[in-house]
Amino acid sequence: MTVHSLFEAMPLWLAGDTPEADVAVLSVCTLSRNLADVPFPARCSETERAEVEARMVRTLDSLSLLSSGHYLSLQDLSQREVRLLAERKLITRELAAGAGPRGVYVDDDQTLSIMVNGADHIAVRAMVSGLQPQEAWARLNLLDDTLAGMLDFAFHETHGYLTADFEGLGTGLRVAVLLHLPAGTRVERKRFEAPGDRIEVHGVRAGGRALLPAVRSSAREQTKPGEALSAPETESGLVGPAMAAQMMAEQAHYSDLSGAVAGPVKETLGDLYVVTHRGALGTSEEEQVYRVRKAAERIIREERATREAMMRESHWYLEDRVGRAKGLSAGVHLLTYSEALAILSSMRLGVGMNLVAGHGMQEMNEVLLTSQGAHLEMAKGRSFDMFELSRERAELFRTRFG
Amino acid sequence: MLCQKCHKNLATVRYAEVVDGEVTEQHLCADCMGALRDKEDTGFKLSGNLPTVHWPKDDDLVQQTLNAHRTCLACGAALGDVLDDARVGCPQCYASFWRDIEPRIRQLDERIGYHGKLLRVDDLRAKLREDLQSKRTLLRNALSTEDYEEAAHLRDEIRGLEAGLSASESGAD
Repeated sequence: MTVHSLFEAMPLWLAGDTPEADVAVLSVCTLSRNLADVPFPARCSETERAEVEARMVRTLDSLSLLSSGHYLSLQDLSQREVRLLAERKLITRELAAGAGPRGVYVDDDQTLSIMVNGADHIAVRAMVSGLQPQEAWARLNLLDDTLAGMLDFAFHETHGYLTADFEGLGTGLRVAVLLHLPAGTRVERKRFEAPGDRIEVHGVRAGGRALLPAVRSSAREQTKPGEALSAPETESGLVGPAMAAQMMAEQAHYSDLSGAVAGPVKETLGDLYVVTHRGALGTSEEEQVYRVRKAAERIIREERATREAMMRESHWYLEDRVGRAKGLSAGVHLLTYSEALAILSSMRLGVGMNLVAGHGMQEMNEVLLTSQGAHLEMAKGRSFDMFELSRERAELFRTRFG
Repeated sequence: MLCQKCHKNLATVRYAEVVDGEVTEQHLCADCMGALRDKEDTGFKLSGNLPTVHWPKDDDLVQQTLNAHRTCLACGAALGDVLDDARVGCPQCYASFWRDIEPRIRQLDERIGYHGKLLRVDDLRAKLREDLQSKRTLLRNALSTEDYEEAAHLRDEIRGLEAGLSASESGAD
């Protein structure tokens, strides 16, 4: 499997066919595990990291339940291909911006990925359409049982699974649900601030500030004192980790749903929000999943109620918003990423309320992915500057919605 | 920062001297500061009292400096970096720095005892007990939020697990 064939095939979670699909876009569970006898990747030598990678690949190869996917070593890929994997949420931004031996196993339907040598030795991620975090966790749980029988994981009786980040210590699980809330957010943003015990709601942003620490540490590793940061040469010219991060920051969204690129609720893009659980030590995996699901259900109920009230009391407002989005899509020739997400938000609202004929949720999800930078570049097989990207994105919108 | 006199120990005292209106400042370790004081006692007297010296035990700043230089014996990660990045270097770091890390973990989850799945649960009964415990917690949650539909569903699951557990226990006896 090449990244190009992965690009051609769309992930299964795009289907958007669940009962909550009008509001809930995607559920993601990520489980971090580490080997007991090796330092965490950030403090590993190049040789140790290569050994960990080889060990993981051997283990994954021997698993029959993973026969339908492939392992991609990120060192063998171009920057554009690595960014594509990040835009598909198959790898975290940190893994994308890192250096040295690291990679990802990707399932054929792109709903399961196993990241090697990111922040932790392995991080297993399952993605399911709509609001089904329990399905994602069930899949991870099963896989974890198998892996635990083959690998010696770092585990402590009272601290649970030992992870590189404090946040993961305990279960090592992060549960996240991506919601689209165009109506509720306009009425009262505040209501999403504390929807449940230890539940957090973050905004989604294209900004890359949250990525900077990762870039800084990878630069620190590579650079000896007094020596300038060397930029590896790629097909698109000189692109170092910092520049790659910048490129991802400006052209893609929420590549890491586990909270790393979460922004303030008020500054979110495309009315998208991420609901997550805080703390993994005193709470079991099932409780984490349960709390996120319940909080998301509550928010979905409120969002639907607001949408219905708007439809009843001021349907002209909704029709105007959707109509404008359609008009813009038809005539636009230059489209920035944040503007694209704003148009898509209105279109998605229209599809959810049956105000737009001829378009479905799957298409909305597809455009959410394909309007990102690396996707636009892969489609044409060449690199673009910011101006050309805006032109390509506009073309995509004209063809899809014009 | 190292002592500017002996260049060996950690500087814990800032010593400022004013001679002819000109201020000279030195960062010294406790030993060198002691030696300086002894020397001054034998020479001419300063006009006022000697500066009050805070010895390391009482000084938070000194403690912080010392902490920043504490490293994990297994991987060499410095405690200062660990706390700054909220990220440890190896599994052993948690044992090395637990006292310093614990308050930060508590901010995330005030319940500090591990409640999740156990490593390598080979024993079927242990697994059933673990499932049962977690479902009971969920049931309590559901009842406290008056989610009776979920509670009824969980109660059925708990009954099933209890039946499975008693069957496996009577089978083992």
